[in-house]
Amino acid sequence: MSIFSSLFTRKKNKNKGKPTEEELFKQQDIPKQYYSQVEKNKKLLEELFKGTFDFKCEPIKIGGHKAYLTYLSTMTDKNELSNRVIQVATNHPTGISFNNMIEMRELYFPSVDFKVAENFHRVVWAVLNGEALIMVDGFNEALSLGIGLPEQRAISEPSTQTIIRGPKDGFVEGLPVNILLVRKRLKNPRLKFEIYQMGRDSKTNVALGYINDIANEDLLKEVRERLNKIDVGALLDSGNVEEFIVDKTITPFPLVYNTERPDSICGHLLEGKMAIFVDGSPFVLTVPTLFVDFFQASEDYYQPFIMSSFVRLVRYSSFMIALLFPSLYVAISTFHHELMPTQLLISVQAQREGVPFPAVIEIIIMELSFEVLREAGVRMPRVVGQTVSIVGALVIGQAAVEAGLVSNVLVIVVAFTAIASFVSPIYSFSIATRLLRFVVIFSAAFMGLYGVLLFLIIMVIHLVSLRSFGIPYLAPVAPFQPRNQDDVFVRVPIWLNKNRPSYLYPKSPVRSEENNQPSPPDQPVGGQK
Amino acid sequence: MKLKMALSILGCVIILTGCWDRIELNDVSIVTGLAVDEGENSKYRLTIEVVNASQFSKNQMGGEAAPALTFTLEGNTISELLHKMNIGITRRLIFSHTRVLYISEGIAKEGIIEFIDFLDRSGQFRNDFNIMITKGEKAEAFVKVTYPIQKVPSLKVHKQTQSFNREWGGDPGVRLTDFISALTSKGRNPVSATLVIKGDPKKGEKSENNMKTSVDTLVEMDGMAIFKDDRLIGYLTVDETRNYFWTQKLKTTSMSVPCSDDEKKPEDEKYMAVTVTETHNKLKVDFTNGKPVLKVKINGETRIEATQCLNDLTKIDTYKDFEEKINRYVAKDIQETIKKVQTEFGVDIFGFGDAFNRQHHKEYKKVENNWDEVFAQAEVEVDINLHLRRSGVRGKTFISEIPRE
Repeated sequence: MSIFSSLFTRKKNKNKGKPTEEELFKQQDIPKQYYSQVEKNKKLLEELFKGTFDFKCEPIKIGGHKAYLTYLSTMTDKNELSNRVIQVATNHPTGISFNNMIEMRELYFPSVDFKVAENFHRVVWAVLNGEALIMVDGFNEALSLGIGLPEQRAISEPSTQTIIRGPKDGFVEGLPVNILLVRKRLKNPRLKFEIYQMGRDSKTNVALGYINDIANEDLLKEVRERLNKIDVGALLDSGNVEEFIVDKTITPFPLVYNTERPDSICGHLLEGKMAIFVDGSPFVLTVPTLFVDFFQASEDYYQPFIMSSFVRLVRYSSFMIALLFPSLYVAISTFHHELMPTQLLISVQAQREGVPFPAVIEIIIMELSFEVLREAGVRMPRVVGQTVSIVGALVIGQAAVEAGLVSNVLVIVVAFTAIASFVSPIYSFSIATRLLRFVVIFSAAFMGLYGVLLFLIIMVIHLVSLRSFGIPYLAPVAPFQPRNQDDVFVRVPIWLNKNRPSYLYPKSPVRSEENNQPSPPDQPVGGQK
Repeated sequence: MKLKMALSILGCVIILTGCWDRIELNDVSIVTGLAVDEGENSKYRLTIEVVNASQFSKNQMGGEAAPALTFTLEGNTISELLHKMNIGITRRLIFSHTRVLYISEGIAKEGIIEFIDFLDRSGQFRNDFNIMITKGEKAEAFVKVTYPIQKVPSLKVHKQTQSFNREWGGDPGVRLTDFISALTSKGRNPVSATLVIKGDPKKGEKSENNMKTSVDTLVEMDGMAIFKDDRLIGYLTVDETRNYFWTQKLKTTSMSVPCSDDEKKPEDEKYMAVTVTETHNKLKVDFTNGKPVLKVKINGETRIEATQCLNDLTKIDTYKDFEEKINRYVAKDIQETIKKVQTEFGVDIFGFGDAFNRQHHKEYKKVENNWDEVFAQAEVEVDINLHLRRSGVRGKTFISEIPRE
């Protein structure tokens, strides 16, 4: 009960603050002290990593000093390790001596990523991060060298947001690769990435990206605050982060945008939004998020603006269809027969002749079986995926109608609704429509069109009450901002879209000043004729 | 706590209300036509026509059956009868798709005001269904005559009147609201369309009627009925109906105008077919010498569809000549029809009274109560101003180019 009610009530800041790094390590019984006697450290580490087959702690000699090279063999690149560390160290067993770790790194391992681990906690962390750790006898710090992680999934086309024209690369699970994909597109020194470690057990790297001279300072502060508040066991996907930073938990509508497309992230960053990358997830979040964001596909900007404006209107209307079509069918066919043209009414009645269920039961059966099919289609191993679609199409499409259990019209309604619900470019938005559809079907079954209208009123009230990081969710439609309409229902040509949306309060509100409208040359090409 | 309150109120709203007017489509029968006759034992004999929807689906589950079903009951009020119909019919009736109300001659002569009130008052009926007076047979017979294309008899009649109204103007286009507003107005009397059955009504009931290319029995439009208040007093023919409709809201029509309106050469029977594409009409009543003069003014555009005349259509003079002929022809027709209504029936069905009221309110008030008598005495002026605009895709007709002897 208390869990349930805490979903509804606003969070009161009762928690004592999340534990510091030190407290966390203390909980796991890891000492902080790093000794200058390297054997002691080695013993401690071996104790800690006991039973870990890939933990290696190999003695080497650097500049005449006794040292240990420590790493997790599964997390480090073997070639890099032997080329850049082991060979260098063994080639100069009695080389030049050094006074501290930084000096050693300059002498022996230039151009390798490094960190100085000044206490034992850092040492442990470095090993866990897949770095090669060099502990030299007689120094009270260790040097950790970042040598490439093993191979990851190659960059491939995003599987959730496919596109016809436009860049085909998508984010992968590795954080550095994802940041690379964005950096390649925005060569801008003001593009910043702040790194956070989250998760008591997982220590996941989370990066907050923004463009310094565009993103609003207050918004940035709010995002940082919310990220800093996160105290969780483990973060396995950006979805986990999303749940921690939303403004409101009880809502079917997604308040944080997620995408697999780097170009989409760049577009958002350029508007003044912030991107949140989570290591291990190909889905990158952007905040603040607006309702209209979910109707904009990145392809809109690569196709001619007339076409993409049309497609956008199609998306808005298919949202309404996906939401309301089945309920309108229920409402009109059971409450408002007079609304249908006579011919249509007769043919609908002819279809329903002999169907044993009321329209609402019929439609719920069909919608549910469609949901089951869809879920099965997603979860099933790809190999048997075909079976589902064949069985589904036959059972639902044909057999049910032929058996007289459901009417033909209803199959059309459900199928069209299902297709319309796939139009939304972002999956997390289309699942919201899916859920609300059932609510409005019930509402229509009880109260007819009045119920549909009542539902819409409640939904709109709910929508206008939503905020994403303090920005009204329905902006720029409600509150209506005439200046920001150039990229909402229709898209104006890019040369006309000179201003950044003002609802995000960007530091520099103007994208470009010049009038860039293309036109033919004043003089005829090839001289006068 | 507040949340609990809100949830429970919302729950009550959903669970305790709603559903009261919920009817599944398979629990209703769609009534498309009502036919009212004189009852043998009681005041009315009501026949309803309901659609047998299963005949309209691709996979006919009930096998071949009639597309519509009729049922007859006798009683003293229409509304009671409509609720009593389940004495023989299984499902609840819905009337929102009623398209035609057939009223038999006999009932119409006695006055129809008594049950029109029910139709006007009930929220279930649309107010735009056709009111049809049935001639010859009982009204009951008309809802039983099938037709191969529009299988439901009343839908057939509805479509037919719509098309006839729009294409030629042979249906006065009277719906319930028009009828009632004419009834309540002192400056106008109601009219309605009439129907007859051609052929044997008994044969028309069977679906074999639909198997032939030339059907045995057919419901046809037959001009219109004229009412004095709510009582039927006479009829106009189809041609006269079109002339009446010229003064109302005719859209398009078509007619055969003689090439020469010289009375002395009737043997020279050549005509041109003229289609009227647009009309604007105005009724006026001028008040001269203490007497009202009824004026009909019609502007419009026409087009030559076909010509048997040899006149050269590439010349502007021919157009002018034709225009005059058309105008004279139409004016004569309309004048004759108005005269006929004045002399034979003596009721103002055109709405001159309303026009008079608008233009000369004070004068009208004096004659308001015996307007129909004044109307019958009044002079009529018809001013037709139709323009001939086009003659198809040909100028001269090829007939004039055929070498003769």
